[in-house]
Amino acid sequence: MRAATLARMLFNSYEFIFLFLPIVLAVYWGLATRQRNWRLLWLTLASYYFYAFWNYQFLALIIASTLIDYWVGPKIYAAQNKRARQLWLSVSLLSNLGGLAFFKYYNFTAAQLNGFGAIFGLAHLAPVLNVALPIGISFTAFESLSYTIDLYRGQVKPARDFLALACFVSVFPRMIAGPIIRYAPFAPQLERDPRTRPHADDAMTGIYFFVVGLAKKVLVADIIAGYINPLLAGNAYLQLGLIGSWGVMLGYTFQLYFDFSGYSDMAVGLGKMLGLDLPRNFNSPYQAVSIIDFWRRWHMTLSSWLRDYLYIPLGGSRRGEFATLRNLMLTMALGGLWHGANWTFLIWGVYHGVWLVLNHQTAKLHLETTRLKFVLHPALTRATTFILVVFGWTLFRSETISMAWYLWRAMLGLHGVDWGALRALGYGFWAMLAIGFALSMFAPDTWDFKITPRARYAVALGLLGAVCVLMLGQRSPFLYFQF
Amino acid sequence: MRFIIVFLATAILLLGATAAVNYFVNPYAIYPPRWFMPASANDLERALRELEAPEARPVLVTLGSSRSSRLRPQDLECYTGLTNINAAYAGATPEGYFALVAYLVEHKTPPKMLIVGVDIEAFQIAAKFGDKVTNVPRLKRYLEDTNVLQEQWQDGTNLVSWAQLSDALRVLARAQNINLNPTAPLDRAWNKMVNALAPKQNANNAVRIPKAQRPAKQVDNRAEITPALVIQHYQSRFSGYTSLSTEQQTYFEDLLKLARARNIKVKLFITTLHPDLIKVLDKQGFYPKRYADVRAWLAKLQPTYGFDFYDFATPDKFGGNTQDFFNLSHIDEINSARAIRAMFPDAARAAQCAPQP
Repeated sequence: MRAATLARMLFNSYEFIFLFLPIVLAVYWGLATRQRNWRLLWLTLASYYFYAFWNYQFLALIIASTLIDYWVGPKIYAAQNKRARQLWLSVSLLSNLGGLAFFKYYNFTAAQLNGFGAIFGLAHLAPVLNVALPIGISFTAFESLSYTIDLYRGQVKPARDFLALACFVSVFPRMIAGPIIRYAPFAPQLERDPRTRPHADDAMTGIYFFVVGLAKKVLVADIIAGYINPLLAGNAYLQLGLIGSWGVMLGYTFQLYFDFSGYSDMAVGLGKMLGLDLPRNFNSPYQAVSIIDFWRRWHMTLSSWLRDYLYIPLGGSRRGEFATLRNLMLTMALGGLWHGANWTFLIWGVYHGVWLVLNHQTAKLHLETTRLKFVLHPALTRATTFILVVFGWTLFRSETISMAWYLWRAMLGLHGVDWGALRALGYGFWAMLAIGFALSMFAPDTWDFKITPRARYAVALGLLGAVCVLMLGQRSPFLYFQF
Repeated sequence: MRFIIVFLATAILLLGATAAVNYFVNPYAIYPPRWFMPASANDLERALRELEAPEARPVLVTLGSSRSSRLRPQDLECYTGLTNINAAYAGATPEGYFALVAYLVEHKTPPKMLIVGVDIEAFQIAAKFGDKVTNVPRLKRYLEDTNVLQEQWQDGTNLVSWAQLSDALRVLARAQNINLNPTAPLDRAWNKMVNALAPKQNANNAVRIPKAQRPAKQVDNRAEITPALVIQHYQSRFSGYTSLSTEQQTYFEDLLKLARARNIKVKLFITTLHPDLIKVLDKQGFYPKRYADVRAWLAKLQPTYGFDFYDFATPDKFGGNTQDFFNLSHIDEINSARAIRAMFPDAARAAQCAPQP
């Protein structure tokens, strides 16, 4: 293992917490008393540096895409007719979606083509390239697109200068895995003089979100991951029966939630520390009482992006029932594919699309007025939704369709009942599952707890933060970084 | 503002207390205070501590796995007249040899001579034998492309790590004779290693005692090392060994480069296995091919680095016999002395050294 220490700037790393963040905050707030340009320049450079820690070569891609959007933005806005606006918008679409398509989907498409060609003896129709996926590209591409599409719609004005746009695209708290921000609500925050804000309140809220997010990640998600990852690696899942598969998939369900919502909380907290308000991304999703409700609570910024920039442009619910359901399915399928170039993600999107369609249809039956109204009892709807979501995560986590199929069958008891798994997984694992279940089902969401400047909260957060720091020894990237 | 001050004070207090415990207990031996034995039961740690002891001034250092551990310092000193420390440790791999010598070069006077026992399976992927070097932070740094600043940063962040704190508490408990977890793998490994390296008393008998006839509560685990167990263990070691690890080869070559740069004379020998064990391994198929690979590769390196090379793969190659074995995979002190004689045939003092011809 002759390699430099993993030089990646994770929020849950000593480098970030003890070096990067204090320096960035100190200089940022030092510059805040000076000019706006210095402040934005510092924030942009710090964000580029943060990104370069992951892969400095792809930084050029981010800058190039920002330059293109900065160039076409005023042209889209100033174009006199729709055709010209469309033309300039297509440049931005090509630049942002082209990068995404090439880096994320090219190899997948080539592999499918070659697989199909192999039937006719043409296994090398398209070359498979050795390209890495630029981290965060799915998020930055969507954010950049929201800027140019909103310009096209006349909903925003072009960025005041390159710094404003570069800062919007790159601002480090959400650069790698969201929350997905929009230019319209974010740009004015960059122009706002931070001195006009109550710093102490922001700092307190920022600390609260950051520490709670860090705790979700290192004290829940990472500990659960330690139990389940070995059982999902390679072919190890083939030994799972009814109990093992449910244990592992419930573990993954909680791991994913605490990992991703932990990251989102940390991003919001960091934004607060910089005097920026980032949007909410989660609202206790496992407390949802229907699949429709689930998608209003899970990865909320992606859901709203897909709604505003895909579902509604496709026609939304304005063109009849069939078109509505078709648009819903299409949006969910593409939303699934957004997560990764794999059939499992596409099927996961379709799976949720099917449940959404059914959910919309059953809502029209108005069961609450019939004798079947008992099925709408919140405990029952919540449990049903949760189970459907867990089955969905099986697709999401599986590397292949056959793996998902095996796990589904195991969860239905078709691979036997592995009583031994109760002990093999360990008491610690079941205890962590119970903690994950209790926290996600009954505890208030980070956003719903109103922190106040009391000493006992400060002490509690100080202790929690210190315990989290002690647990940072193992570097563990966030799950959504892969998307 | 009060909120932030209280938050920071609480966090700093807890982290500061942790750092203080970790620094003074120093369970990984990476900070100046050395009041306690390190937590690691890794025998590489033991070898390193022997080398870094203030009184240690080794001019000749023996490197290798447990198969080289019976090259007794008194025998080597007799033949060479050079102060010797045997730094062999169980399951050694080239990354370990390299890290030990790099440490010596940096912290002590570099030795004048190295004797390196090369196991054929040492070029199997390191993970197969457990990553001992990565468990010894003082050595781990030589395997990473880190600079001094990064090393200091790692040492500093280690101060506030739960992993180190839990080991520090174990060290403290051990110092107070409190056995926190008597069945901890580290403790078992430590006991096993100490027993395995214990001076030979009646090795031949020990090997042949059937497991069922072992006296109850026997502590010495040499009796457990039955031929069947050794065969099983070595078949597993060689299983799937389809090629030499380029990573381990690189470390080995780095060791040779370092030795050349520091004018350290190197004597390499391929370590010995009992012919009965080789026969079994031959049937498995991996050993003969990798043996040929290692031989050919070392022969290719020899002109470049100018080391002395001895193939002691079987006892007949150094005038040894098949009786003087600790078990099927380890020669004993008598055969070891014969191997030493074969490496220093012209030593002026050879006549006074064991074994007598």
